[in-house]
Amino acid sequence: MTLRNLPAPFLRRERTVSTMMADALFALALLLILPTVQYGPRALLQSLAAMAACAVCDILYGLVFRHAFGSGDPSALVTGLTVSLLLPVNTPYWLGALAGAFAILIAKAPFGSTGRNLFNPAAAGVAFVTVCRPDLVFTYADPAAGWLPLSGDCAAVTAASPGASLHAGLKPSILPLDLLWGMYPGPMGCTAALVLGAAALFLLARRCIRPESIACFLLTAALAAALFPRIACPALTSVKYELLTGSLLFCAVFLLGDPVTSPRTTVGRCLFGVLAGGLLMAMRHTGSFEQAACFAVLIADAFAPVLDHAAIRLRAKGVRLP
Amino acid sequence: MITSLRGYRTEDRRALSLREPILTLPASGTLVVPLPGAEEGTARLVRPGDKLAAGQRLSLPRRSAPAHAPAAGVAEEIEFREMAVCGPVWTVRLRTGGERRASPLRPLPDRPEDEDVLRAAADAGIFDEMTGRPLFQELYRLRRLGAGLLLACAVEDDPWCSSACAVLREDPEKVERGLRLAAVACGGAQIGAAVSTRREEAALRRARPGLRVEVAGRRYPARAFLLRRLRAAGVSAGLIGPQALCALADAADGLPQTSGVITVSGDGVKAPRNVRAANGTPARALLEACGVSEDVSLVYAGPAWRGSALTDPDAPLPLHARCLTAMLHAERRRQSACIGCGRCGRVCPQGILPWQIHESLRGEKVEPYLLLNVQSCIGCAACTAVCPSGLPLSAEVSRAAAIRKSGDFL
Repeated sequence: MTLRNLPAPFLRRERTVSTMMADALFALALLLILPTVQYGPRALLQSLAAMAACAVCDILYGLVFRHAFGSGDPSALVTGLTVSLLLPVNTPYWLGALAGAFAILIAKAPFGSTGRNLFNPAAAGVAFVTVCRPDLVFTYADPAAGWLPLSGDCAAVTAASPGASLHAGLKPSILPLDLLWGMYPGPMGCTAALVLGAAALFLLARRCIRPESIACFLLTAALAAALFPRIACPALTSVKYELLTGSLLFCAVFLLGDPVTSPRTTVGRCLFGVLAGGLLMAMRHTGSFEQAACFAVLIADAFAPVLDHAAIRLRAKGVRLP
Repeated sequence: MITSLRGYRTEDRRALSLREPILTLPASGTLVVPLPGAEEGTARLVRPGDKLAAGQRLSLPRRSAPAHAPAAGVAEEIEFREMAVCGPVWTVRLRTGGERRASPLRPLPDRPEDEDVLRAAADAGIFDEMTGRPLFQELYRLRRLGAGLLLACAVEDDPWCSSACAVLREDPEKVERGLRLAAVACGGAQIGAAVSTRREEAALRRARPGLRVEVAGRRYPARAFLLRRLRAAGVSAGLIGPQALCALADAADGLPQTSGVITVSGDGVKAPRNVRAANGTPARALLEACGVSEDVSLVYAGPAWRGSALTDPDAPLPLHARCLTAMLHAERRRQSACIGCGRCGRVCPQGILPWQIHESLRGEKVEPYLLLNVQSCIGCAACTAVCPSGLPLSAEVSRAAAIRKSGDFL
């Protein structure tokens, strides 16, 4: 009998960082089903390219700087899959790989890898390629065109997205059912609102994400859409198009819900959601890009430690906070 | 461990060890009896080579309870050693043999006063198994706090441990007798019992119809939440272990506490059950009595959240060890950076934010006013248990409390 000397407590942990990442991977994989059905295996290859780039960069960085084989958890794969789902399915494979490499090598690993990064790596990667090649990032394939070729140019089957219509002040013409199932041009994993809702419920049930920041973000965005519509239509129609088109819902669940980069106090998370929602709607009104959620998330991420610090100081002064 | 919206609760694995009645183990050939609080030479009453009678007093510490010989025999060695559950302590290695019995302690009068009970608890060397402290000190503390309700605590937070429940099931009448004596020591408090489940409540009501029974919730740490609930209802309650109460009832008849009930369980044990063993019995004797697999990789004594891992199967166990758990697979707690999930704060019964303490202690300069509420930590280690990053958060909260208390932060 060889006995090991371990410190207490001896209660078996229900969750580890790796199991939480596995849950996030599963939720993201759910979003790959509809694009694969609509656009064919190119959607899978896009995701694989971004995930492979992230994994390779993670391993290389670990070997060179930390003498370890990667960060030791599947977070790089989560980043890669998130990046690919935020990009159109018809972009060249290298664009997703470039965004993934930027996310790992610039936005994550130098800060100390999982748990220590200030900015969401996937948001940083997508923001980087958005600034570098907006022509590729905002050119979307038409789901009605069927399966896309695995290699070569997909320019022949592109169509204007509802985000571009809203940006131009025009009302998109999409059937409500198509809006829910994501049958319109847009980022690969961001269009299917129903699947996004299911993924969010799964992550909430598994307690991988907290609801406060997401709820405040969506409420703020809805309020801004109702009060300041970009198109001439009733307030509810504006809210419908602003919330259900573009990457807003996806960013709410997978970028704002990221526990590492969002505040850790409840009050901080609520303010974080309000800040990100306000920034996003302001960027949609005044910005030159049709999708600006990643930029809003990155700016809000910078405020996360400040919001936490303020909440802790208030608690220290005896203010009762949730 | 099960995490739910209302904190987390430990997985109940106690049914197996409760199937059988308590097994009384004969005294092992060699016992290593701890002498808590006997750091001064004059507090140790035995020398190597002394012949000892069963029940003979071995120590007379100033700030702890005395130890008594669990069986007759010869004191082979007096040594200072690290002991599971007790920590570093002086011990007597006793080679058992013979039938000599020491004269009994002075029994309690028929109508004892509070000081009589406290003296009897101190003389009999009784330890409260729930806190690991001498019973007379616990009774003094409860009297000072003005406890209006004394509860025999059969609430088990440990997933495998059932010793308190088994003792209460075996002899509820003796436990109640001990409770009445403890109530006298605490200035006439009401008495009752606290159990974990409705089933145990029903069984106890059948056995002792007049006894007040409180059912603790399932959220961990159940004892802390039970006390909080009673406090909110205007009742200042105190919890005492059933083993200590049985020992107090025995002390009234002049018998010292020399044995304890230990749950031998875990997935590496073939027939889990509760075993009554002499003070200082080696862990191997208990494990072999219940059939242990050769493949076990982790054996720990004491509750899961603050027990001690045993690297030597022959390590002795004190009478208040409560449980001995043998596990086939020891989980390696690989540490990584905090991911900010906030689980530690949600499960803390005292409203501490362990992640924030972790962040504060990581900085070069510790800001004491940001170490919020750390003195109220009850050491339940719920935060450490749920942390997906495997961080030793409860140890960090203890360190923060020590820093704040010492003022060593300038």
